[in-house]
Amino acid sequence: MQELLFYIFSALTLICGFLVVANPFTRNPVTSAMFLVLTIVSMAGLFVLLNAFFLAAVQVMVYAGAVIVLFLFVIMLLDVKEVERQHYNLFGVVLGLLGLLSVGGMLIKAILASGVGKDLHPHMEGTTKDLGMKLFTDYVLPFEIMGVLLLVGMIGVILLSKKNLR
Amino acid sequence: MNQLIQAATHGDILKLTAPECILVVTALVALAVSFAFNGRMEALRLSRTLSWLSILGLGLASGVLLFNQPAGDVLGGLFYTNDACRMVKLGIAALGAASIWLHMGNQRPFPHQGEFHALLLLAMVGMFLLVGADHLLMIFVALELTALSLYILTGFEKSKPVATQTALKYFLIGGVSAAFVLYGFSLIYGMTGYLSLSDIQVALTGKPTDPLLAMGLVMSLIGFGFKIAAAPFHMWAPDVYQVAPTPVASLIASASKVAGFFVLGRFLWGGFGGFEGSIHGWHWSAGWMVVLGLLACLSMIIGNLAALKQSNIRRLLAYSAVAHSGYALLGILSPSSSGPASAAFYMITYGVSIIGVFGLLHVLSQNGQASDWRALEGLRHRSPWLAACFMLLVLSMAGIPPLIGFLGKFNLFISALKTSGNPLGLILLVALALGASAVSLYYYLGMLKAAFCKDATQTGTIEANGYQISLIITTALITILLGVFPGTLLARFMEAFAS
Repeated sequence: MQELLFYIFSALTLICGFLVVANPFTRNPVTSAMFLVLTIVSMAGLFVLLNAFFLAAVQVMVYAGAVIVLFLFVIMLLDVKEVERQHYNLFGVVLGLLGLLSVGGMLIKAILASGVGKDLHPHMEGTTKDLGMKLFTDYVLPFEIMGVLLLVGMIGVILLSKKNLR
Repeated sequence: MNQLIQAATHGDILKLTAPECILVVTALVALAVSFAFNGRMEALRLSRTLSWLSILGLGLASGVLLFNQPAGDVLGGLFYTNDACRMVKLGIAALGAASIWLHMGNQRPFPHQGEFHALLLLAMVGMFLLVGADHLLMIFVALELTALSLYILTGFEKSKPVATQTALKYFLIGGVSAAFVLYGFSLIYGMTGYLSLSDIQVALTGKPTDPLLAMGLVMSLIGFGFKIAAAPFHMWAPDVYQVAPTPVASLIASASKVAGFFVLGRFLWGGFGGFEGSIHGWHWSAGWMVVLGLLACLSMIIGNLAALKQSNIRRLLAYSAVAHSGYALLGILSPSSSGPASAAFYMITYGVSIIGVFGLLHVLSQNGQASDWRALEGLRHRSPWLAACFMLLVLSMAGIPPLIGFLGKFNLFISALKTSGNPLGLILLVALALGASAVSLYYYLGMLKAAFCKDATQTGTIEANGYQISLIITTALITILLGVFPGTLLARFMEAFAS
């Protein structure tokens, strides 16, 4: 059952992720954003399979809820309709595909060659309490630095987005 | 019981991260001061006040580093300090202070000075944390803190469209490299089960090489390569050097690279010490040394050859910086403790020279000249003292004795050659580096030729204020004084890394 769910969710993630960037039927940005929601929800499903319930909930609430709503707001405010069909640079496309294939091929070969996952006993702990304990004891320093990082992000956003800031 | 542990840990964390905490507080104070006095104080005076405040904060942090810093680690090896960390952090603080000093020479500061200083200081906090990180999670968080601040600073003059464009380019390339690092780290974590570098080292000893782990290692190296601007991950460097505000460009060129090299050495030798493979002649065996050797090779060749063709001096400096990263990678490749020490020493002294050159370019651009070759022409007639300083700085970058640049390079090559067993690969790399330095002489001397032999296209003396002149003269004096009397400083450096 778990394995079946894993394959369903991973297939959904991959397909929807592909449709976000390259949808053959429409080039409407709103459709892309909706597929991004689907990608994120199926990733939340993968997190649930790993017993990381808190992460799954955060994934849905923050990304699928808040971030995508912001995306949609921006798309609708800017009134972006159909993105023009770009003329792809052939050189760039060939090089990109080549890079993608080589990295992907290496990864697949490495995964097949390494004995990953053999005789491992799953050690599932991902409850909210465990996470909180870890975050405020062992990982308190990175957690605090994340606060500084968010401050930097906030300063940057205000600075770069406001038009006539005194 | 739990609360007792908590209290003790927080005290320990505060003790070990005191310099970082001081810098964060200084950044917040800078924001508050600019918030309180914006509009009520003349812009130039406010900017100078903020700069003095930042330098004061850096001075305090350096004081703590010098006199009141215990060695040790905290939270099970999440963050550590030792003598080597302290030396490198002092170097970063000095380079950061020099960049802020360079900013003080600016007569017409751009708006939002408070945010500018705060971001500069927070970027330096990121570098400090990067130097002290002994844990994959900490390394990633610190890398992001540094990078995010630098992206914003690059696009700081948003009235210029090209600044926004360059910042976006920097951000996109940086984002991709961060994704590679994160994927690499997650593979490493998946294969070993540990995030702390020393734990990874223990877990890996005596194990055969796993291909997936190698993949993770290579992916993380891509991210580090971006940080130190090693070819082929240097694409952002020329644009950023050209467009970013001069103090930011000099910070990116100096302090950020020092931190990058230090953490790269720590990551590779501290976490994957038994996994280096070898580049012994033609019999290479798999390991990160091969990848790093390739990066060094490409950086030296691409950096120097591309620099030959540049007409803009800032772009030229960017490409030559790529080449310098290639030289410094030789230090990381050498297994003795003197290798990373000489790489860090080299990058710090190189940072001093490049900040001086950026200071001079800033003076020239303030005198209404674009930074192409023509700006330098006739510098000797227009300002003999600045021309003399320029000569010292450029010759130091080229590696001419008796200047510090020569000494740094000499140390690097010696530490690479002293490797036990003398792997032929390293000798070949050193030979390549010598050849590359010879090529680099062409454009360095070309810059001097423009400054000394050509007639000026513009006449009149060059206006420079006290801040700028003092910065340029100080950096030039450091290159020659440290070059002649390197003894104690270099010895202390080597000693700190050896322990």
